[in-house]
Amino acid sequence: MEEVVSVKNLRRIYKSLFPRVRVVAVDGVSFSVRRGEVFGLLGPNGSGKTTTLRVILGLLEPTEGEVLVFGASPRSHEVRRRIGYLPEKTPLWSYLNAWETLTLLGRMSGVRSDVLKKRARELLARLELKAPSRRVGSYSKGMARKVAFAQAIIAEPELLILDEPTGGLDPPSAAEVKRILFELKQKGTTMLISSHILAEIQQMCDRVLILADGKVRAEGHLEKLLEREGFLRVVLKAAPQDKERVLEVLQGAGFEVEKVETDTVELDSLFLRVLGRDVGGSGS
Amino acid sequence: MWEVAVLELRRAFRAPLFWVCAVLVAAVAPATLAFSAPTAEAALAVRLEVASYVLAVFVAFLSALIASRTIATDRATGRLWLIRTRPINAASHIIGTWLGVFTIAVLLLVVGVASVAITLNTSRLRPLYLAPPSNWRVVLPKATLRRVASFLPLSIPHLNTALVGPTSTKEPPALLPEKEQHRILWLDQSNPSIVFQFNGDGEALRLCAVISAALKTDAVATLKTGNITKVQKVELHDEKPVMLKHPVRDGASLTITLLPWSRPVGFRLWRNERGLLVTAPLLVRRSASVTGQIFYLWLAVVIKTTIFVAAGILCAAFLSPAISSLFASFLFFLFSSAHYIHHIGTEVSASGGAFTKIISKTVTVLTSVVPAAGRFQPAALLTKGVALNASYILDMLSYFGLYTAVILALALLLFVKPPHEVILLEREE
Repeated sequence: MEEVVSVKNLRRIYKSLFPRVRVVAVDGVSFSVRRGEVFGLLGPNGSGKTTTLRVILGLLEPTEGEVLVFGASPRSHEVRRRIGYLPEKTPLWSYLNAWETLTLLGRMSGVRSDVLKKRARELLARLELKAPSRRVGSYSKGMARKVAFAQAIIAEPELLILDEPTGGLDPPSAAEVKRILFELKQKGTTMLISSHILAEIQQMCDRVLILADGKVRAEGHLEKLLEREGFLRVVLKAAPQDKERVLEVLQGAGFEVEKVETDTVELDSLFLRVLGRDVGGSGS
Repeated sequence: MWEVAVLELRRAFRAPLFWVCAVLVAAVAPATLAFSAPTAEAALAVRLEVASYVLAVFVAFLSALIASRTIATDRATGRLWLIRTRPINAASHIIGTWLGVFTIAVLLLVVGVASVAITLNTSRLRPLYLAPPSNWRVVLPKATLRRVASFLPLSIPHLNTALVGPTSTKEPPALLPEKEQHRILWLDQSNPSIVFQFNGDGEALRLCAVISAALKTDAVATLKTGNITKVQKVELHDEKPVMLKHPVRDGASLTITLLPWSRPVGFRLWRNERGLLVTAPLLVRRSASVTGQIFYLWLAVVIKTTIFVAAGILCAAFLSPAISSLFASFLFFLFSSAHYIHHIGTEVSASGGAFTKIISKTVTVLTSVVPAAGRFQPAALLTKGVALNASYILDMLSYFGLYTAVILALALLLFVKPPHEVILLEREE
């Protein structure tokens, strides 16, 4: 399968003359993201996630190593035309409204005016950005985040780089964002997601890379990484009082049972159910 | 490019500061016209000239500040990433920003010039004469007359009505030695400077000194006896004139020349057609219409502003918002005052010791590198008239175009690989 992002032996060192500082942010990182894949980048604060993303975006030059996006330098205009980026912070122009922000950045991405207007209208409606004529500066953090998300996908990019995509969003909005991401995934959009919300990564990503101190600690298919060798999880449709009987049956069949407990839903699913909304394709 | 320009325009229009600046420009520009002038004929030119200077300083400085904060602020807040991850090249970004800020500056100028034009056409500030008659008089304001009268125990019958001048448009230049002739250049140009010619004694000098003080201007006394000519600046200290060292005797002539407006706007040094520095403003030709003069005013300021906007963007390309504002201010003052510093450096160099000479030579060389923005004064244009100045204007436009292009190219080079990104990201990491 075609490699959309290829990172080989990436090393990035920050240096400053005054005060004299030398920080190795990323040290010998290699990985690749294939077409149509959702790739997760995990790691604690200061592990080099943002640096890696910015090198991939062409905002920073690697100190050593090679980074190719769509087989070319990430600084090339052709590559940038095919990328959508959601930064971790929400750096929007406070004096523009949501509509102006989306159309401005869409035009900069080279989207045709009529297509752009249609997409902007759809996105504003889907993300429930009421009063699109209100200035972004007066928006709540969550609303501004939704505008930032919308600008990342307005040009329908082939590669979507998302830094904390649902950070600061309320559960219904986060669910809608996830739903949009699932739709994009189904359309074949390649995604590179960096997030602290592990459940989110688990729900969405096919493969993950775990970074710590700028080095790769683990990489692979999520299912493989999460698999507990020699253990099997069985979910049965049964009443809570049937616990003992289930245990007896399984032990009688010769299985070593670790625990039998009542299944629970995730908190965000409960929250959405209480609000009368469906998580839909989020997979929760 | 256009998207970036539109972004800058929106930024300005939605910032309260822009509207405050627009109101200030509208108020400041005609306020400068309120400077009184010694003659009705001089009034329009002098006032326009002062207005243009104030406008130029205000708008150019404002433009430098706005430009210095655009890219720098976007970078500091992280908004720059949203642009730089899109297929927009750095040149488009730089030129788009320049275009946006320059348009803002031009709009501010339009406000200022419109305000000047309206004031000139609707108020009492409208000049009495656009073209002075050949036989003209200098009318002093009543307040000035009272001040002069209170100083003088002398009987000056003609002072109650007017001072007569010029006595001659041919003779006065010959009264001064060649090296001083540029100081009364205006006489060649029907400039309504005030010239007195006396064959009298120190009393005339005293009268002149008092009038000079009352008008807040400088005066030069020229004493001619036979082949000997003495020139001395006339000053008034504690309402007493400095008397000439050489008394006027029979057969001698004393000419006093008042240098109008050298004190209120005396910080200006301009070059006349002969390339000599003049301290007094060179005034408008008779043929220049109000519209023509306002056009010149506008043109002069616009041309000046181009370079300051570029300088501001140069700062913004590699400095933080606060530092770039400071640096842009510094550049503005350097460019604005380069020719004054240059001139002072030349003077000091001629008179000082060895060390002073080295310092002043260094200053002179340094300031000669950045002369364009400061030297382009509207008064020089006004003096020469429209028809004569087509080549001059083109020359200046190309001069400023070159400066602007060089500065923007430098900004571009710095912007493509900005070292500040490292610092910013380091902080974020």
